[in-house]
Amino acid sequence: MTKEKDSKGITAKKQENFSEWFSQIIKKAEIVDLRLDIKGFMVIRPWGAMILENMFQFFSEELQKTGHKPTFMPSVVPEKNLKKESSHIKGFTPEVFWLKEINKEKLALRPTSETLYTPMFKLWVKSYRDLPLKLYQRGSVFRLDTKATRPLIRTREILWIEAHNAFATKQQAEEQVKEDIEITEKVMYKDFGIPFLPMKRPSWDKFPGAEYTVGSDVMMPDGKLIQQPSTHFMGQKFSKAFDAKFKNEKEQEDYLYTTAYGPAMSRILVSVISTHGDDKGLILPFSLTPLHTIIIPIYNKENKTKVINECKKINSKILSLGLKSEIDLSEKTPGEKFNIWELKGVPMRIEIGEKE
Amino acid sequence: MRDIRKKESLSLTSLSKLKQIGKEYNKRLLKKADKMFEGKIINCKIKSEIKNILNQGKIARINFCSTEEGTKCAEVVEKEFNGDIRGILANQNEKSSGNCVICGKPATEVAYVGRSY
Repeated sequence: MTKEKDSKGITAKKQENFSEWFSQIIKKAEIVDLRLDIKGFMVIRPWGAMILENMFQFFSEELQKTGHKPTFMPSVVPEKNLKKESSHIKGFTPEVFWLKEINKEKLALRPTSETLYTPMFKLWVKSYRDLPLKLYQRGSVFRLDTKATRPLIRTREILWIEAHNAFATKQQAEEQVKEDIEITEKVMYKDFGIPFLPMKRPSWDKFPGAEYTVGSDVMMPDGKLIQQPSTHFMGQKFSKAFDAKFKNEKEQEDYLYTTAYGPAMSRILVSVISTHGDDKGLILPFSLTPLHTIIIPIYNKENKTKVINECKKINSKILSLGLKSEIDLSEKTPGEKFNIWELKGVPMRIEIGEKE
Repeated sequence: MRDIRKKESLSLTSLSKLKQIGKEYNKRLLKKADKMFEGKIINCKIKSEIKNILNQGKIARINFCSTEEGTKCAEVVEKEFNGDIRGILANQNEKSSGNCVICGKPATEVAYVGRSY
């Protein structure tokens, strides 16, 4: 009996064996399930998905506040698009999931979407009056990572937001890179509580096709760094490759300056878990938790109805504050319930018994 | 309270304080995260110390020749210390001094070295 109980909690210590701690927590707190057994892909369970939805929400809101508009782009990209910018295709080639040829056209699952947005910029932007154009989408991108994959940390499908922007001048595009870093600061640091270093990457480590890249480095408990949102100044590389021109204020033709920003939610979730969690389980920021409070009724046969009614009263009061709350009415013992919700990282547990 | 594992009693009428408690909760998490990050960046003036810093799970801040052309130095860092030149701070213009701790040529930048996923 004790043995079974032990196996439900986390048996590894975060500071001593981070890797094992992380593997256990994502399964036991019901963030992911790996039993579909597709290398590099995972099932995200409701608890994980609700946290991710909240993360998407924070980033989308901030992007909209800074003038970005949502779009949805195709999940596939034709080979001819991918090949337009030479260093882009060179950098991504080993990582592309190619689909079979369909109607003589070779398609790939998008590894990123510069080569889908830039041809649309060419159609949508005629003059400087159409600029800046700031767009984003939420979706998946696919990268055939050849190194060892690890759930959430290194996966072949990444759940993210990618913002793609076009500007009339280099200066405006570089200002966007700064704004992207500020968005990371506002959302990932202030709302999610994850400190980072914005690093302008060395030239040999930039995004394929970019003039320069700024990646946000977050420290894991084992001292290793993980790259979180990155932002790329493309200059005119993609616009030249796609012939995306516009008329500037002097009525002269010029190529667009473009940028891209990619906060990957599934990866930021790694930092949420590893920055805040402890040996008992997850600790979720109030801003991201699917539940702010969990109410545990403590009753016996005689007072069960009375206690549960009291719980319902309190629950509806909390809900009326705009917070998310539930009563755990399952048949488990209160002790088991405490452990489960502690493992899942709910910020507040409210215990209601006879005397309340 | 999950983060500090403390119990408090809350009267029914004070439930309205929950939002405020949530704000304080987030502040505590942020403070704790900041504290974990503190002291993790070590100024490093001698090449041989880099490995030690990385082994302690920290980041070495070094004077560096160039993140444009210093690929050879980056290879040294990778081979000898199993580390990466992560880059230079993007939101500050940090001034280097002296020579690159790897090759000894005049430094032009302050770079950060770490191990990564």
